[in-house]
Amino acid sequence: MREQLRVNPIDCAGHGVCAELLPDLITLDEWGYPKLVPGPVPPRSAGPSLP
Amino acid sequence: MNGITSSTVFWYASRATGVVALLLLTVVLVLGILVNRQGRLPGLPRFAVTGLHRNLSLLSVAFIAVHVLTAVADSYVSIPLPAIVVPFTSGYERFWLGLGAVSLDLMIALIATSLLRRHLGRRLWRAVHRLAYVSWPVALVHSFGSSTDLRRGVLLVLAAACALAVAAAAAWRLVAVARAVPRAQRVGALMSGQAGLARTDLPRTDPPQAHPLVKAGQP
Amino acid sequence: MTTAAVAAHQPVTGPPPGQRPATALPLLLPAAGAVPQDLGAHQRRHGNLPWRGASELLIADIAQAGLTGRGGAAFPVYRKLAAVAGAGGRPVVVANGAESEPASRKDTSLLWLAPHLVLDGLQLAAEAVGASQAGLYLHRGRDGRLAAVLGRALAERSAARLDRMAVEIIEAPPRFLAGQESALVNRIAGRPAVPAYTPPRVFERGVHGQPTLVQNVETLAHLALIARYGPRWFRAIGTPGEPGSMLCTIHHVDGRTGVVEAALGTPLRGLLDLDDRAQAVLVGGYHGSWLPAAEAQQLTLANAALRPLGAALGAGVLAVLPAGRCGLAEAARVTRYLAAESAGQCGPCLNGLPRIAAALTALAGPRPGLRIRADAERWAGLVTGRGACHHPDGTARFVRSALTVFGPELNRHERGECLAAADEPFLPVPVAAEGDEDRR
Repeated sequence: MREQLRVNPIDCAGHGVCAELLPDLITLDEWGYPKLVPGPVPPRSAGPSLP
Repeated sequence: MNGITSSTVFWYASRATGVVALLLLTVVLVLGILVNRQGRLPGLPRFAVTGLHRNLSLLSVAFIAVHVLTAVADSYVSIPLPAIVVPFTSGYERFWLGLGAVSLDLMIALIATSLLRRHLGRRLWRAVHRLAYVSWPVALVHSFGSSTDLRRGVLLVLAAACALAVAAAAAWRLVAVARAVPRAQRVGALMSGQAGLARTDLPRTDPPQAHPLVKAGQP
Repeated sequence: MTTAAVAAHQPVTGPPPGQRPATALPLLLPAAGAVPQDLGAHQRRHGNLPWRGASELLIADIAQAGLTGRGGAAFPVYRKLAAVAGAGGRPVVVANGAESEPASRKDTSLLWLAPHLVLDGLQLAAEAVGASQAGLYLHRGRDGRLAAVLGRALAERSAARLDRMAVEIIEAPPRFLAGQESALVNRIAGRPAVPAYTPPRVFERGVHGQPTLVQNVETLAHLALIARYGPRWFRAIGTPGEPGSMLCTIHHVDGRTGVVEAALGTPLRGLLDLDDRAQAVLVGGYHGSWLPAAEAQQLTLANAALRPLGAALGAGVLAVLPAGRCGLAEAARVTRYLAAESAGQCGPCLNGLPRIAAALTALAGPRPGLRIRADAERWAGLVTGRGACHHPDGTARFVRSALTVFGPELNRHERGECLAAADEPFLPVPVAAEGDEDRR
């Protein structure tokens, strides 16, 4: 099953935990907000949920 | 011979797990504030803060479970099982144990809404989670009133240290709330951080200064 | 296929009620004068409301006509209608007349001059999707006169027992994002008019959690005409890929502003003065793109012609920048406005737009330094696609096209020169707003 990772930019407060947990999918911009790698998520085990 | 009865074992177990639970809940609350302030524990990755907060809260539940069940099982005092969650229905120490039930009820609400967070609105989750600031003091008062353990010696010092830690963390949180730029004014704050930006059409002559970083997301 | 025709309020004899009009424009706006068409005048010109009975009939006609939204996104109208009609629940229909784009006046003009055409379209759309509630979303404007005109029009229709669904007028706050469809839904729910995170899109879950059809008022006016005269009539003008006509707000090089109705595919040089008085053209409003005047001369009023150049029609704003103006100063002023209009909800937009505005302000001045242009480009890339709505994307598009088209001007500024002969602003920008209180 192909899944797409998305960020709710309104709720996002820039904690940066997501980039720490999924460094190959998420990097942080110069203001601390997540930048997602485009495209579907490669298959992997379920990760923890985020603040 | 007056030996150790099962009642005595239960009683001691309840008191001991109660103390540990209080300690754990103190750490959980302080960690919760650390998550909100986006603070870090030295040497640990960022997700450790939120991970520890969550895991220790579940551990506290385990200790509280033993704490209340041993108290109920103790035949020396009369505490009906429902009194664990129905406040002020215990025969023994109705008021102080009732406070414990109140605190536990609030904790159950906190944890249940956190586990079901995906299905609830953000506003509901936050409103319930703020009840932690009620649950902890109630638990502390319950601890002081239910037995004399915390009123002297090492345990008194321990309880005082916990209270101090919670007070300090809560104060930190309040200062942040007071300082936070309300969402309505965030854009304005950034725009006027640049001197002269409010003027409409005259070009500037020096390069823009660094803007303060203003956090978006829910306050 | 008739040749594309353009008319700006030229007198045209109206057809007898119910008969197909000749395809000479204007179709939406009244034939002559600037007086609001009352119900009688409207019915004499266009005949009675053509109730269709079954929703599929109107939706099929709209599909065949190829009508796309005239609010800026150009989304195929039949697909929205079908989605809301098929979604179950108790649908809500809202006519979006909140023209928040400062440079656009076509919706206001349409509502002022031909309110009954819009209200016909609203009734027909409500019938087509099986709506249980209908609304008209409007800015208050100066002294609330527009709302008064619409209120009178609704009262006329009510007295004539024309409408099958009551229409509630909802006031939009005077902010740029108020007309965005999820901001509209938020406003109707009593919350501030700021965008929400999607999915779900409002046609799935909108007002009161119900499927909500949000349609621009001009779109509804076209819908009302297609319901009367059929899709083939609509397709008789325009291009095969982009049929029909659209309303454009034109800012002429001499400072005049007007609203015209033009067939899609009309050459831009027929609408605008693109001689050597003109430096550049802004196509699509403040979320649109700049094009050099010489390039614009070769283009037509069609997305098929504009998209390859990175531009799009948007809500039909066309502004010609005169030769003696500094395009960077104009762009900087608009960008400051756009930054101030950010909802402040999303980190990238909140942090990026003010910085971009500051950079553009510096670039509009003398000797800004080389790094600032690179910063502006980088930030424009950073904010695109990372907000809950398209405000940062549109702002970035506007800024990047300005940096491209006014590149020669950038070089002049680097040397401490500027070709501007006049200082006063050309593009209309409202005075900066004061905060969130006025988003309600």
